[in-house]
Amino acid sequence: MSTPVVLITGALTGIGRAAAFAVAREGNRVVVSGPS
Amino acid sequence: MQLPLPLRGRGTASSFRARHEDVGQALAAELRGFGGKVEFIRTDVRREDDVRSLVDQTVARFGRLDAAVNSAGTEGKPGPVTEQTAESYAATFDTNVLGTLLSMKHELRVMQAQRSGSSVNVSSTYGHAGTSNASVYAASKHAVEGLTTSAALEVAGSGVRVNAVAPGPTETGMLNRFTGNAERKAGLVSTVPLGRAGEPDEIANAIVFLCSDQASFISGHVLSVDGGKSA
Repeated sequence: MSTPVVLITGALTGIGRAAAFAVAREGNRVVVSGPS
Repeated sequence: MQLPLPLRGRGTASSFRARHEDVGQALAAELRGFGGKVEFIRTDVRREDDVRSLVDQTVARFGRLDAAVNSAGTEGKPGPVTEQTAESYAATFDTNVLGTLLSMKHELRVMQAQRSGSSVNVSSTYGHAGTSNASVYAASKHAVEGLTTSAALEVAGSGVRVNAVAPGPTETGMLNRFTGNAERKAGLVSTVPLGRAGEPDEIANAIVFLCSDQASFISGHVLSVDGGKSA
């Protein structure tokens, strides 16, 4: 099984930011997204 | 939790873009400190071209999409029903509902093709109960729950799961804006049976669970993470 790839929108603040940290801490490959 | 400074206040569209880019790149750099590969991509979830591009760039970069967390959201402009406008409706629904719909549309397109994946939306206690002075926000989160359960049924045959978390009051910038002052914030928090607001990490733990194989038989579920507020 390859390293999971996780996409997170709204990742700059609040719950999305906490989710980004939680997912990255587990060593996943992560795409974080924030407002344009 | 320390919130990034640049996300509020006055500025031109281009200065907001530049600041969001800076904050996003700083976040990505910090997350790379945990050892994994991380990319930041600016996205307006209200624009389908942006969302399509976000998902396509993710797949181009990493080859697949195992889980998605749709946490872009706004509290809109809280206030009584009698003061709401087409503009306040659109400002809330465009991000919370259309943004969730477009995100799922493109994520699930990839996940169905690979016949695996987990998508997690962010609802609210107000996604399944009414509240005074936040009718449009509550309506938008009710819509998120309807999208979640309906999409879960559509993609289940591909082995793809769709769920949501429904946070209660959580220590974020949104809660501070939503309540407006310390007294109103304390009043809202006092309605939580556990007697406090949640921490963002406590919501994130539930999100990570729903994303993971630990939740392999859970789909179409809205998981309250609200200190008992919905009980």
